[in-house]
Amino acid sequence: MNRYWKLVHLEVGRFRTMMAGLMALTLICQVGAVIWGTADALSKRDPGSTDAWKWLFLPNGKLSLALVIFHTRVLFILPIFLCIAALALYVFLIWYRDWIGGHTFIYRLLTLPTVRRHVYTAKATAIVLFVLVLLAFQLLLLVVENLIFNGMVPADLRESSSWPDLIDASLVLAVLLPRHLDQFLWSYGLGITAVLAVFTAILLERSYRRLGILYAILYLAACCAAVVWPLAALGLGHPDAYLYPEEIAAIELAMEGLVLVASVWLGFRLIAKKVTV
Amino acid sequence: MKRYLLTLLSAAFAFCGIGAYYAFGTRESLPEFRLAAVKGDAAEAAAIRLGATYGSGIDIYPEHLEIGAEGSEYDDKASFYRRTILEARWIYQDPDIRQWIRDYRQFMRGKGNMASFYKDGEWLIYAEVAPAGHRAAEPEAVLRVHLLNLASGKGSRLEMRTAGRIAGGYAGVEDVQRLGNRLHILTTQRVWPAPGNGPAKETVPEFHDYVVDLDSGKLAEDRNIPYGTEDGSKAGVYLSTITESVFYAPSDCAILRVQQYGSGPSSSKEERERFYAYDYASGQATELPASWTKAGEHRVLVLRNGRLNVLDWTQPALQAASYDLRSGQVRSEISLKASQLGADAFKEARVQNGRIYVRYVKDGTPMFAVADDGSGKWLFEGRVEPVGALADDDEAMKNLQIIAMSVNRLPAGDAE
Repeated sequence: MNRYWKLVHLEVGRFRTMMAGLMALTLICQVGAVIWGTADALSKRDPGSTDAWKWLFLPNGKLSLALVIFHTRVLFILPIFLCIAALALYVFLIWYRDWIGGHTFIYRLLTLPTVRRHVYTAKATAIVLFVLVLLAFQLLLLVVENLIFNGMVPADLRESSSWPDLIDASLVLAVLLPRHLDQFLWSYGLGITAVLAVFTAILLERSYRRLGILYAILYLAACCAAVVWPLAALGLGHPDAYLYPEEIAAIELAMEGLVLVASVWLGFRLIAKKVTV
Repeated sequence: MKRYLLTLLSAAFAFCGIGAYYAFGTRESLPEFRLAAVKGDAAEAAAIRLGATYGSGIDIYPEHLEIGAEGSEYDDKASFYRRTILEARWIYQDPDIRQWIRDYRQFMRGKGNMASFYKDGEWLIYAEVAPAGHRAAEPEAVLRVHLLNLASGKGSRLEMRTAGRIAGGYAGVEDVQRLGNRLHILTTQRVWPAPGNGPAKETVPEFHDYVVDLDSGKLAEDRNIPYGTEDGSKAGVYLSTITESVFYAPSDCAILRVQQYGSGPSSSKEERERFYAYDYASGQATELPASWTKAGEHRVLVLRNGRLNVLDWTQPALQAASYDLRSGQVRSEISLKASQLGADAFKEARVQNGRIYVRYVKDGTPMFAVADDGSGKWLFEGRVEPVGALADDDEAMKNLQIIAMSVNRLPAGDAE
């Protein structure tokens, strides 16, 4: 277990600069958007001017952070998409970077005096941790942005925004941070399953090289079919469907569990017995 | 331990941040509302549901809520599992269907058309009609009847072929009724003309009453119910029915509705429609006087206990009439005005449960009232009011927008 934590720490350390960069970019874009959006709205609120400023404010003439986020949402969404893209790319790079370069790191990893499956689980843990850290950082940023907004807008012009308002205002955060915990667990559980399926596909490619690409594609296609089939074929929303919705949901959950267990089992076998360096 | 500080701090930060968000951040302080009595018996408001939106703060995405006499419920407060899974099928929102699924889970599987249900003290019945495919060898439709004896809990299934040709067409069950040992399955369908019986370019709309002998399990009769149109043709005809407002309740009649969307100069903008009262026992369809169903901008037709209620809340006055289909007599004709309630106009009206329900606005406050559909006497007046911790918030009522009113059906006799 100690070896596993060491490997997790190793993976976190290898990505820390990138994480810091992504966080910094998000901070600059979003805080900048709040400052610019708030200052812009306040500057246009000139009693002598036309009513053009009114669309920047609530009907009661006040300004809320949620409204500022909504009006500057492009600057909010862009760094979030960049983070998503970077992490999606890193799901592949976390493996392939070990093989790339003059001094291939994978030699050292696979010859460590520990079971090889720790390499697999450590990389998976690291990816999940990166995602959760970025989500928590986004939540922290909203607190910071709220403080900045309160500092810029006089109290008599300020309308407070609830957390759900702030999350909804940026559009994409409502998807990343759903309002209900069960939806969060379902969505991210599916995400973790997808990452593990991709990990196993990568190991198939690493194990069987050219033929492995075909195996990997077939494996991913089978995983997708297994997860999509209950929802597409059993008629979740169809009143005439034979199975009840909760039964279809249970089948869907079982299929996701099956894909997860199959991916982990196959991944462990591949890294222990097939991957050679 | 110190070496792993970055990883440990990252994990702690992530779990604390997201944990705090789900523990506290997702709880939104939204005001609660209810329908409160101003005048009359508060029990009259029990069936009313107001669909509304509440636009707090940002006003970009207002929250949807439903307000009733017992309080309000915001859509988004329901869990993901409830919204996405348990309420994935609209039919399961009906309280009777939900109860039947609890009581007769196996029987209720795969049964999704409310009009196909029939229930009395003895039987729960579901009927379906499946047209054959366009190129099917057997052009007839298949009728399936699922029966559940409520006393014994024993289920059975009957299957038979119809005599008509529905291959490649459409057929939908509109009503199911049991008269003794004969089961009537009323359908609307579009059938292809039989070979040699007119051009097969277009399907023909038809009403059918399939009569099944429950003792023998055979199709006893296939009644093709005749109807007329203004120009005598079946072109542009759309058929529908008005059946008992309690969808599964026994009834000896149904209303057949024939609408023709003409293309001639006299009818280019006006839909022409005819109504027939169909008597299951005799198989007779009697055309209703046009004066009974005069089309208004906001007309609602409801069949309840063999009486046709016609409500038209086209301003300035609300007209409500009740006709006894058995005797063909006018039971009542009343006129109600919003000014009787101190309002300028009605926003919406419904007829249900032997009552007329109206929604209106008085001095900026959403109000509603209930009148007897026979006498027109106002029985109840009520209003929407905020309740709970945020009841004193001045903004609560300002941010509330009532969108629509619906009225739940009450078991027969409860409101009459």
